[in-house]
Amino acid sequence: MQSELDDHIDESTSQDTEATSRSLPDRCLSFRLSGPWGHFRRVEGNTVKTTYRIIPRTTVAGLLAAVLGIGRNQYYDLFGPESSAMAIEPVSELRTINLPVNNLTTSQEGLKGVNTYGKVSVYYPDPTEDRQRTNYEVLVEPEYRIDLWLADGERYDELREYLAEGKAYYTPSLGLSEYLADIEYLGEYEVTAVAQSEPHAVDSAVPDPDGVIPEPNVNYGTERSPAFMERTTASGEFSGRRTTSYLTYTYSPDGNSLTVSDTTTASVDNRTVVFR
Amino acid sequence: MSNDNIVENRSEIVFLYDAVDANPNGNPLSGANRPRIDPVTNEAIVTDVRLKRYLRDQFEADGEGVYITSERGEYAKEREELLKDTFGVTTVEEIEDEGFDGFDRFLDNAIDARLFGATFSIDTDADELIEALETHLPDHLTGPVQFSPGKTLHPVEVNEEYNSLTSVIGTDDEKEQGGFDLDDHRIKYGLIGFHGLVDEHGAEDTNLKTEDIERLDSTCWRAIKNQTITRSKVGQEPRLYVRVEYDTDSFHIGGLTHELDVVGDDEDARSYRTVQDVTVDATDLVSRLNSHEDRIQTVHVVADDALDIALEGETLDDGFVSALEDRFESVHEIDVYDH
Repeated sequence: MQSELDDHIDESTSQDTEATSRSLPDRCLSFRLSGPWGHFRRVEGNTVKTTYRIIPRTTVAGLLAAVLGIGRNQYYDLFGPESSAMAIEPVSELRTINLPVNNLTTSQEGLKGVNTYGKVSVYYPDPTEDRQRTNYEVLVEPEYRIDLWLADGERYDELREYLAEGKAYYTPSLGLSEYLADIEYLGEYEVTAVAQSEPHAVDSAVPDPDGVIPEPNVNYGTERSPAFMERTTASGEFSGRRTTSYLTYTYSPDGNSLTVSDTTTASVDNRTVVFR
Repeated sequence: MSNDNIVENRSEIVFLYDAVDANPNGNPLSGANRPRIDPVTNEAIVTDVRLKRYLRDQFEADGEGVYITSERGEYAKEREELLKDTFGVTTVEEIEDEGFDGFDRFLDNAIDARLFGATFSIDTDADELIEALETHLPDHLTGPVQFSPGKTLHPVEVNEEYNSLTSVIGTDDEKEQGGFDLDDHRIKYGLIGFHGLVDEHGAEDTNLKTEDIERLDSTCWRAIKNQTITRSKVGQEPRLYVRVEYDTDSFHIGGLTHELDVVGDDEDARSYRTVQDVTVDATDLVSRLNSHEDRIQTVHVVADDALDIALEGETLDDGFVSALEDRFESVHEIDVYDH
């Protein structure tokens, strides 16, 4: 599994470079995404479920697919690198605490088999087994502002209607189904390019660590998270979907702005953001 | 038959219960099972898993089939048989047969799987069998009913007096001496708020029925009354349960529990000791509901008299239910003992 992961990381490097040259969309939908809890499990973690601070691009895609009522494994093209643009701005301070949970184990030893010698056997967690303690690192009251453009005009209009009416086909959540999310639609905005000769402040997370100019007394966080996925037909670990590329976001854990140069930035609602 | 009465409306749930000198949810990784407390806000935390355990135990006590039981009971046995019937198929023809309803029968027998979803895996060497089964199984069994982990509506104080409790519980099978100086940590008082949603589209996946949601209404209440029976859990009472049932497809207001504020007699919330010390300010909640009145079908509610609720600065003398009845066309007071 690790070697497959490495493969994806290698692939992503070339795609990242391609994506930077893409032109800006002319408009976008803007909404606030918040909730009492959030957990975006880092792909490299296992026993302790650590979380990304910045909601991964793939998670936003899944959440919006839920809003639109699009099923699992059916929305990856809609949010592809050429067919969508997204800026993610952390609005709140990104604070985490540990929230351990006693779960029934789903590891092979803890599962009970029914009909194990038959053609079709089924395994389920055995309630008589000891509970497994899983330590979740969770975000406390995370809040993001998302700016989004989709090449698919029909879906874009549909999403605008859903957001404007406060509707969501499936109930949206932040990473895990129990971390219920609130979505507040802020409006549709024009996207204009920002002249980029001088270093300037940017409000969103920056999906390119090289563009950020470090300053004294400012906190920085950086993390590499899944950005794009594709549907697969293969069975096994990656059945259904596979991450095709990652993005490295630099962000301010306190929700402040960052200073960038040599980065394609855009102005949306009097804010400066970086789309990817 | 099992497709009757599948939930068609979305609901949003506000559920408050309180804890006096109790440990509403210990943190198993803290060593001494200390109450979970947010170190910054000092609010106590109760996971959704804890609430669902109370609910499952109450369902089981009521004689409902439960998939994730506390222990091996008679229902667990039945569930195993059902799974066996469901998946004991050997040919594609059997599965494709119109009479094949094993999976529906499994769901019929497990109210917690219908509400909260279920996990199991299917194994076979024959691909065509899996394919045939997949057409009968829902894509996934995510629970249509989700509760966010709950939090107290105010900062709490830990009761240090319980710390060196002596117990006569044997610490080991072979030892006759009881344990001594067992750590036992509790909070002095906490009014805990849960926020839940019922997803009408997810309901189709697990055959969630309207009766299940009606049962959930009373079970939340009775579970806190009846299932908080171990030493550290005694002292918890349900105080308010509101289920806002919407009639607009795919719509819910969102975050209703977080509209509630606690106003205490004392400025320092940590000095609250009983339900008499707190008043819940429901002004924002009610005004949010009012502004979406046209999308609300019914407000289902049960409120405990002991909890003071205020609207627009005034404590309600006639109770919260009648205040809602004055403001909304359809208010249904839940009879928690009719289930």
